Amino acid sequence: MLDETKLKSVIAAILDIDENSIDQNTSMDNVESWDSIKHMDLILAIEEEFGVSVPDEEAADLTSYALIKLVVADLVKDK
Amino acid sequence: MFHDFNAIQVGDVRTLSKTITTDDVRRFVELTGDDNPLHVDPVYAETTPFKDIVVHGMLGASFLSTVIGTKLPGPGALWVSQNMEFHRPVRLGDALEIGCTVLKKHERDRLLDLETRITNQNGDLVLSGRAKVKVLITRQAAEAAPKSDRRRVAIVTGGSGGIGGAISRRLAAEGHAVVVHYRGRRDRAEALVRELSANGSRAIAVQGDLTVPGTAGSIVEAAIQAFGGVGVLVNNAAPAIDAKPIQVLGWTDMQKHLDVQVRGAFEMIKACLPQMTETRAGRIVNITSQVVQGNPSVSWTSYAVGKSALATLSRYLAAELGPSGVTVNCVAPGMTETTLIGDIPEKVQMMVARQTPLRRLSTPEDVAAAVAFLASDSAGFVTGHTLAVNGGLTMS
Amino acid sequence: MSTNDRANARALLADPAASFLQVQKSVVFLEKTEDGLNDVTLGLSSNVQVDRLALYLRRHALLAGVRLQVQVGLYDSVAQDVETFVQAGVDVLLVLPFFDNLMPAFEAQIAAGLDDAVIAAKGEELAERYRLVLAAAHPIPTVLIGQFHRTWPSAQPRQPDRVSAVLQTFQKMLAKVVAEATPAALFDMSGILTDVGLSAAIDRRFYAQAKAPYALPMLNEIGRRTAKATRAYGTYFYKVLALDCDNTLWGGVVGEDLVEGIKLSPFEYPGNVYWRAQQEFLGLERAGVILCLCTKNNPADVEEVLSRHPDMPIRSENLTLKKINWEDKSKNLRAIATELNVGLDSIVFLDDSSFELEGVQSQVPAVTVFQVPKALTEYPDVVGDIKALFLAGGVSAESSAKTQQYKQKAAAEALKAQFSSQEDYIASLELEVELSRNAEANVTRISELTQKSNQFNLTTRRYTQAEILAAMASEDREVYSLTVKDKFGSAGLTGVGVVRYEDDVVEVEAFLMSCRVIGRGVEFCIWPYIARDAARRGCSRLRGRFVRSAKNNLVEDFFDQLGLTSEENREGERTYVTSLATLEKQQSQWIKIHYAG
Repeated sequence: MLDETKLKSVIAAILDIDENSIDQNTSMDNVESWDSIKHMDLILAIEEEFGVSVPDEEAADLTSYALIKLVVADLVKDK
Repeated sequence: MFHDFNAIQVGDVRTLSKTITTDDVRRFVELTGDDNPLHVDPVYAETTPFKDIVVHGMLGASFLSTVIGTKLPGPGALWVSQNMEFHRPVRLGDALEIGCTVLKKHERDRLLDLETRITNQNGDLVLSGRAKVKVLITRQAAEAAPKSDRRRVAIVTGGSGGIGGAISRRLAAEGHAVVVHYRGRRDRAEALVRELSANGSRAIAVQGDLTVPGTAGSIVEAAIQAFGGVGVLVNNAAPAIDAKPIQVLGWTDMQKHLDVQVRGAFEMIKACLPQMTETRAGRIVNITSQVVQGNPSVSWTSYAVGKSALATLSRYLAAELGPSGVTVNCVAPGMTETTLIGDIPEKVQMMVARQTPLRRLSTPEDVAAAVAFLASDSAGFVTGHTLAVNGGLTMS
Repeated sequence: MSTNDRANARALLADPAASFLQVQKSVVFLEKTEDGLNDVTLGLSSNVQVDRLALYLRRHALLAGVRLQVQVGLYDSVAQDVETFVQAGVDVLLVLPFFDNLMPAFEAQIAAGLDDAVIAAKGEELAERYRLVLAAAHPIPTVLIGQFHRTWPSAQPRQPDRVSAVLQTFQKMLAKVVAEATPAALFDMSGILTDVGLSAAIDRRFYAQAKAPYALPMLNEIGRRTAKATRAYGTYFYKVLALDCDNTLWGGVVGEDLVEGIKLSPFEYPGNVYWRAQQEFLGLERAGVILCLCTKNNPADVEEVLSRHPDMPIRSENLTLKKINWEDKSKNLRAIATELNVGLDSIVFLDDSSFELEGVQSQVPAVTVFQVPKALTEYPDVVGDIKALFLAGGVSAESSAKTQQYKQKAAAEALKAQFSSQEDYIASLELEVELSRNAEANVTRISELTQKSNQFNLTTRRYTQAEILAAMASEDREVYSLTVKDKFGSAGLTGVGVVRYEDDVVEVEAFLMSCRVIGRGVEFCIWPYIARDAARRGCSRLRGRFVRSAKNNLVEDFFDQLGLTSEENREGERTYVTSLATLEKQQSQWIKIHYAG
């Protein structure tokens, strides 16, 4: 089971945004601080906090909260 | 003025009256620089056989320009040649009558032979001559071509499914009578027809297996029976993608796509052609796919081969049928939200959406809107084109 | 935000096991909420992507009480970055040139047989670029250039491969260019890499995808060492190491175990641990650190060890002050500060006793304390940390001889006691002052003095080397510098004055002296010369200002003493004037002044 609160808190901390503002529509398109450099930090932090490893080919494309949630949930399930 | 060359008749006359004043002469001298004393100096003129000021010959003759340019034929006139003889001098104060008469029409060249005459207040002939004037074609003339009588009847194959249903609805909303073709889902097709009828549109459902010879003909027959003819054909029917790697892919899989997508469209087009060429107006829209030009989706081989063949058929027929007034175009959707993509994992769908500039997958309505445009009057000069509806995911 | 949250965040920052997310959160939180932080800006430039390093630089800056604002440069544009940073007025410049990315997969290309000529051309291009960059970086007070290092392990452990040969050439080149351009300093990345380990230091995934080579442990270590190399971004400048004796310099208690019983020897455990530590302390002394003793013992006992113990590396002559008594250690440390005329915050104190250290921390919190660890095998690590505090910021040639000068002063103090009158004493010193004007050769030391001097400093105006050079070159400014010599030896360059001529007034922009040489009249003796120079330029008056700071009460009345008239007295600032004629009359009887003019 994916701890969504934890995921949101990690994303909020890395992107320096309000946890409560994160929803299904949150993506690189509408968060100013979310650029490609911050994106790498985000993947790094998520991998560390959830103990998973995001496949290289997919990491760069996880540019929306909805997609991150989907992928991380899968990875956590397979652990 | 004659807007229309055709309206000009042999024997048509136009005239202009003009009294020549000293002011006219002065301005003519200013304009041309011809200050020959005969035209300006009464003292000098008296010493010549003319005894008094003679108005420049060309001054009087210039009013021929006025008649040709503003009256006969008027706008569009191109004065090609003029010969003239001056018979009598024009004096200050003379009242001239300048006239042109159509002697002959040269239809193919749009050329007029004119007789040009100028007489004075005494009825004396001052100038005689012949002019040749061409009548140019103006844009307005070209656009005056009559609107064609396009039949607002559309056949949509596979017209009750995801994309097909959206196309049927959209064409109906734009005033077409719709023939909703289906193969097996009768309930769905009939429900759609009921829906369209309830909204005030005309629609029928027609069953047929496009792989069976003769089916196309009976569908067109049904359209003519119900609505009097066919104007728009949308080849949308396609079997499920049934993705298979080459190791397990068989010719029957390939054949299935070729039969429905290519042969089905081929037979339908042939069946509709008589209707379309009769009115010199027809719209054929083939639903292809972004797989034709985008990056290969591995194991979609049979589907992609069918769609590619359909795309080539479209281009060739667009070239061949253009002169008959029939346009043939394709709409190439990207990944569209229908049951056809039900096997594709949500993750992949989302990733495709994220990679798409417009950040979503295509909807059936997006595809239907493109079809509606190509079927409309606005697309009358678009043929042999593929309108990609994929949010910018691939751009070629 | 409770103080508890801040304490937690601080603890996380100091915890080497803190996760990336925890570091991120703690840094952001503390930068927003902590008070009393010094603000420092740093410009970061590299030919690889080092954005994540900023977080770790900030982490270690926070641990030292600094809020570091990091400006990350463009990608592989060091010249443009430096221009931007100079315009932004950054305090620190950190450039990290990455060897493997000088050309795509440089190391692999070298191994594959890249043409010598191409490599040489690259080296020359780099040398030229860095020469220009370092020249342009002159206005930046602290410049650190990372030394090249290897990224991919060698497949030939038994002998150096072509990559190491090329790497060494490039390293030598960079070291030379940096050495030629003071005040830039080389930052030893190779050393850090060795400590962290090549496989732990490089993140292959991010290097391949985004040209971001450094993994978290490496970034953290770079952050830690940059803080050390800049002396916590200029917040400290340690000068004195005060040492306890028992169980610090030797094993055991000399008062109980006697000279024969204490553990101190080059060979046997545990004596060898203490012996090695003393050698390290001597190394510090050689680098200019002042060693003092601060121990609760009978003086005779400790003197016996110093003079008679066969294996005692540290001897009396290495120690500037010996506080061997039964007084409070805090009191002794204060005395050391006073006698050496340094701030308590320039003192590092090492002791084994938690009790003593707690006392010192509560009574004189400005002193930085270290404890000899219970597990003696960890003592060398502590010594290493102490060394880093003193040495990581670099050592200038003149600082090395400082101990000698301080010792001279101590001896002078002792001598002073012998004289009845102040004047007799001063006369006996055989003071000589050499006054110079616009001495370009001393720019480094002059600038350093303006940066460090706090107490005898009239305006506390700091000058970078570039600013001193500019003042020297200027038509209407002069930089005076003076060295003081007495019968004990030379105290070196110890006074600086900067004046500005404006119509008929000569303004004293800055006047400062090292505390070592005050109280002997030196500070008064140079004014006639300054006045004469100004008179020759057509001035008739001199104006001086005292700008109050936290540390310069000492010179509150200096201009009064010099005989100037108070002109304006405002909160925190006093202005004085006098006619040059008055100053020219000043005479100094016991100081011999040499002025080249």
